[in-house]
Amino acid sequence: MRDLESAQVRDEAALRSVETPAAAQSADAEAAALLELQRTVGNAALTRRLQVARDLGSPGRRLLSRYHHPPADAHDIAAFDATRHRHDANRAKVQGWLDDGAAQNHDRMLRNSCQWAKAGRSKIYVLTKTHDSTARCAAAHHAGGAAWFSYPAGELSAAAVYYARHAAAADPWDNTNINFWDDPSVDGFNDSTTRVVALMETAVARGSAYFYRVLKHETQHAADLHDTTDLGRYKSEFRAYWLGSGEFNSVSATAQVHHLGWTWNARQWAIFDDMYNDTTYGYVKTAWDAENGEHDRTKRAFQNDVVNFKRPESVNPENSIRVDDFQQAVQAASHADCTADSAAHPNAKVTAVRTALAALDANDRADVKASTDFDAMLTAHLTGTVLTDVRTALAR
Amino acid sequence: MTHRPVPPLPVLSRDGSVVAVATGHTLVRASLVGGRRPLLELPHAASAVALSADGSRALVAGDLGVSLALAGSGLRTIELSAPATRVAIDGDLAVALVPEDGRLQLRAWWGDELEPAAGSVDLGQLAPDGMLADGPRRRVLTSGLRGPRARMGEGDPTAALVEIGGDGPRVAWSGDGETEGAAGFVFPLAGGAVGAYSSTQLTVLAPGEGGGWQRVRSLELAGLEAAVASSDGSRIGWSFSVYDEASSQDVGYIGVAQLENGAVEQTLAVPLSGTFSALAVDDGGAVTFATTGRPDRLVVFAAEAGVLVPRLEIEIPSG
Repeated sequence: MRDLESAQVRDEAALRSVETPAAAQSADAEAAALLELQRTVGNAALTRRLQVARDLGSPGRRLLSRYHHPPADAHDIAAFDATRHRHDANRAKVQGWLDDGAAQNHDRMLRNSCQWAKAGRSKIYVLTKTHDSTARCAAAHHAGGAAWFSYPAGELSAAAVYYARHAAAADPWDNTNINFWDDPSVDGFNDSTTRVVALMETAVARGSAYFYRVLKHETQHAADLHDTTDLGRYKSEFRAYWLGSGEFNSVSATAQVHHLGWTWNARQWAIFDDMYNDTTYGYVKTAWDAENGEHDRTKRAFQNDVVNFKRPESVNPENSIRVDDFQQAVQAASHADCTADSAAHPNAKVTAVRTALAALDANDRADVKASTDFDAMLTAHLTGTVLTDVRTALAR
Repeated sequence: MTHRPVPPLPVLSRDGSVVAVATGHTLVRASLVGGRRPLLELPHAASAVALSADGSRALVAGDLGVSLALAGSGLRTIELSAPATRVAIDGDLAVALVPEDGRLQLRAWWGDELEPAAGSVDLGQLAPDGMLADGPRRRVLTSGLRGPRARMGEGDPTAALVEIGGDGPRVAWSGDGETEGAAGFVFPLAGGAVGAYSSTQLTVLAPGEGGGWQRVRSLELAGLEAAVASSDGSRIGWSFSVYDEASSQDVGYIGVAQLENGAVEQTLAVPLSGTFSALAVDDGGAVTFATTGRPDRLVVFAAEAGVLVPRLEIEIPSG
């Protein structure tokens, strides 16, 4: 009861602060007060009040004082506040981990992945589960799932963005910057088209080592330039598990095993088998099973491609921002640019290639040189002395 | 593109009496004999776990270091400069592979207090496939791929037998030549021997005259995809899979053989195989099989009258 009373007092105080004469209040303070009102009574209620004010042609603050809002649920407000604070703590913890990871030398992919995040190469999001996740999911037809904030606003390098509390049962849910997942156990995702790497607080709660694994996993998706075909997505997940999160690295990469009538290396099979049986990657089972009716195994294109992808070949296997810069510069250039380039008249795009090439460290160069896909990219975009110079430099 | 937690790897003691999984900050260790299932809160998140031969000790690697959990409630944690990638424990000997500037260092500790052994061994750019310890003989066998691109699955297969002496560990034998084509190792076999297996053959190596390790004998055994040795090294068990074209399904099997004569004692069908599995064969040839799957659960089977039957099922904490 005491909690409820105090919550009511806080709501009324929020309303009063909006009523305060504008002459004595700066625009920022007024905005802050409105935000506080939004926080405590909800977006929809605030919108409705302001709409009433506009309809009557009166200053909103005067009408707001007459608005009779339903009593706020103290427990709900407390849980909402606690969730916001937890979100702040999650963000601070991850920021610290990124700083630590970028500074260490034990794990090159980790250092690169943290550099990738800190450089803004991907937008990093730390997502916290809303305090009302169960009810919010049910209302949004995601029963059994999880509701996370804040996405797509609120990336780590920007100010924290929260979400609107559902203050009254009759109000519509405001799901601005809410990210729903039907599978509540998903703890990270990537959108390569927007270069988004999002990590849920469940990955944070498991400690820095686990977080780093998920970060490396999701960053590999952003770095590997995969296509969005079933095979492209499968290969990207395969790379991310093998190189990034490494859950299957306890399984031998050399031992041969026999499954489904094919020969695999044991780790390759473990990754495939997990994805095949996981509905999160349902496209793998669908594409694989669709070919089972073809008796001639040589004609099973997806199955052959999956079985032949025995190692995590990647254009950027260590999530290097320098390799990423280099591939972007190469893809921006053309044979015509190379032909036009000369000492007297340097071509800007070729110059960008040379600059990015010079920034590669020895490990980066080895990774680029070992990638057949990267070599094909070089051949497609570079020619003549430029291509020769690049290949010579990569061999150093 | 998404990521979600993968069920943890189950670990069985060599005698099959204890099963363990480590997830989040929790070590789950269950006895198949007494049925006890204590959960132990760890001071760090866990990434790998190993059990001693009788299951009385568990060594857990995590983001802060390694922790030794004794059969009671004892817990001793050693901080490391980087998370260990592999751990093994046998008797008083505990070992871990610790990354350092892109290379792996083998570090060792002794006893309940994890007293550090002198020095470490630089195993180079190794992507480990396995690490097995022989506590009484103070030996550790590591295997995997070696080379600058080993973690990509490209490199030279390698094995090293490290002796943990008073002056520090040293590589006593490097199996690069003798074990070419090996898919894995079983260790220690009777007398401290090393077993290297391919899919069709087990080769036993033991110290010869002059201190070198030599091929003692070979056994022809079909389907050696993943193998383990019994505590006394007298038997091996292995798993393999046969594809049924009609149903488009695999059928899993476990075989057990005596090493002395190569006689296959039993072949069992595996009723369920999850994301990760572990196998143990005791000195009498009894089979224990553990598997983890989604949603996170651990199921342990034991052989009864030639059939694997479930003996234990545990819901794994989410961590």
